[in-house]
Amino acid sequence: MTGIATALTLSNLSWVVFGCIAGTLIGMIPGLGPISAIALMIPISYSLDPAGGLIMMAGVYYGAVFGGSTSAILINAPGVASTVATSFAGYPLARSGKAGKALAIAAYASFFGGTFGAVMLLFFASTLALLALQIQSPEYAALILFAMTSIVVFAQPGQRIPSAVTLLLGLMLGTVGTDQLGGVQRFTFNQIDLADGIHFVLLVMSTFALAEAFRLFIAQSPQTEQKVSLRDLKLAKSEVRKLTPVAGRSALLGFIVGVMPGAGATLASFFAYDLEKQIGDGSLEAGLTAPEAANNAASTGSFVPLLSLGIPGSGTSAVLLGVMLAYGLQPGPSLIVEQPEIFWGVIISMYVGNLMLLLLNLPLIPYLARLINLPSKVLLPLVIGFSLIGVFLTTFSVFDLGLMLGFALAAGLLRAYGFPLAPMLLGFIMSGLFEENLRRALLLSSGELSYLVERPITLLILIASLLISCIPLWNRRVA
Amino acid sequence: MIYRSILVSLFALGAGYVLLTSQIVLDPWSEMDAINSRTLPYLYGTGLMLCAFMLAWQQPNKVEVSRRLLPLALVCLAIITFIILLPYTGLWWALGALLLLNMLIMGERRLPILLGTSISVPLVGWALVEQLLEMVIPL
Repeated sequence: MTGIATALTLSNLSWVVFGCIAGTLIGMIPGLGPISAIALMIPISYSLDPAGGLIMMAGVYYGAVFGGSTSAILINAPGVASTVATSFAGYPLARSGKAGKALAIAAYASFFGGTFGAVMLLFFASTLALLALQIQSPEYAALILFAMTSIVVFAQPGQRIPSAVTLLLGLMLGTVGTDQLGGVQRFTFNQIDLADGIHFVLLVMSTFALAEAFRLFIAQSPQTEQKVSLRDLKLAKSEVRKLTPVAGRSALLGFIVGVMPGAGATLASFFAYDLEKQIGDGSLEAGLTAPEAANNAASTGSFVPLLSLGIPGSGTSAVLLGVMLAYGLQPGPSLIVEQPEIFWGVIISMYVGNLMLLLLNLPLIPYLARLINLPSKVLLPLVIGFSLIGVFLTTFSVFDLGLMLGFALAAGLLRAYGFPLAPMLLGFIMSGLFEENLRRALLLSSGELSYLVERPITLLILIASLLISCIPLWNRRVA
Repeated sequence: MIYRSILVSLFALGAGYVLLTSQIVLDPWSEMDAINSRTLPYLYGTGLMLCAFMLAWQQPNKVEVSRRLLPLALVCLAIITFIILLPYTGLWWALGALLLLNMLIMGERRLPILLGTSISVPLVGWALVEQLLEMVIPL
């Protein structure tokens, strides 16, 4: 009831609507996904109270996921990895003259997946939070190790070592600044601007928004104008009957994958698409429904470890974790006990956000699609400008802007050669948490490393990490 | 060639990081700890060197070299101009100049769009940030 009361206040409803619209608009711009959308909205969120800010971010998140699918379907430009599978069936469907239907299917499937995920989150979040009360520093350290192992193991084939590289780069960047436990300065080169470490907004903006803008500028792919009418958005009863089971099984699969730290919406959408290819009827509509339902359910699923345990399950939830920390909130079991209105408010607002998205976006689809037709000569300078002022308004440091340019160029180069950048962000966020919890655990045990394996939950998580790290070896053996 | 350079850079970055880690000054008590301020950075740096070495045996992704590197360099120059201008002109004037320069570099030549965008966006930003949200920009 606390969550409903918080989410349904007039101001918070307005913020979720604003978030949905802003997220959809930003997400539709090729290259700008949920991470960039959330990062761009951070300066605005800081001016709101924590509940309002987080509720707005939930709207931005869903809006951006849906917006990303729109550009993937209409111009075959999946700006983010989680919408790549959407474009496999969505773009051919749009090309066959059914652009409106393709967008409508994506909207319904997203709504179904998101709602399914929100209901599951409502059910599982409190259970996991109770379990999480048992979790202390050793368990946290082991969980973060598990998450890092998952990031590498669940990377796409051929991407495991590149993922490990960017994860390590993120971990290394996370060590810059004053060591919280030892009190010594590390890797600051006597620069006062680096004493507090690198701000996560800087890293997000440079590696995602700015690097993406550079990449799009270099690529300059031709733009094709698309027209969509309201009549195209209706689905026949037979189509609804055919697609509902597809959405159901894909959403369940997506949620399970999303809950696993490091797996995320991209993997979920690929799994669902592959599953549908194997057991489905092979139609383009089913091929589009599956990844859309799965990536939305997975996006919600990634909130389970974030809200209940304080562990970010994906790049986007890592950004959200940063937002929460900036508000002075510590996601995890303490959040549900100490600030239930925020915890439940965010969960309820996810459902509200989904509903708002459907209501707002269906009639707006024909008009929203026009944004894609905005010339890149105007669009890209705007993205670059917004990225730079986004960072400056957060840190007020000119030095950080120079650092941002350097990071963006390096990130662009790494991405061009197939290095995924999301693990870098996850590594950056987890770096401090991992070190702090590991060292605190050792302080509790007077420096005895054996303490880590004497605790049953820690041991269990460490064994799980070891087992999943064997998956690549097992796959190689089977192949 | 570029891919090899990336790998060499990554390896050098790992090695440099390990070297800098060895120079972190610890108090005598921390030196005795099982895990101190140096331990994890040592692992990360070594891990990066190892990964860069392993990648040398993998086939790199095929990358099409773009011919648009000069305009990209100009965009970077525009960003550097923005950074230099910022303390002297303030955020919004510098932003206007950045938008104008970038649109020109990207080939936009229509005056209403050039002026409309580079004036209206900073104006809306100023109204939103400094007037509505009452943020003070320390420049």
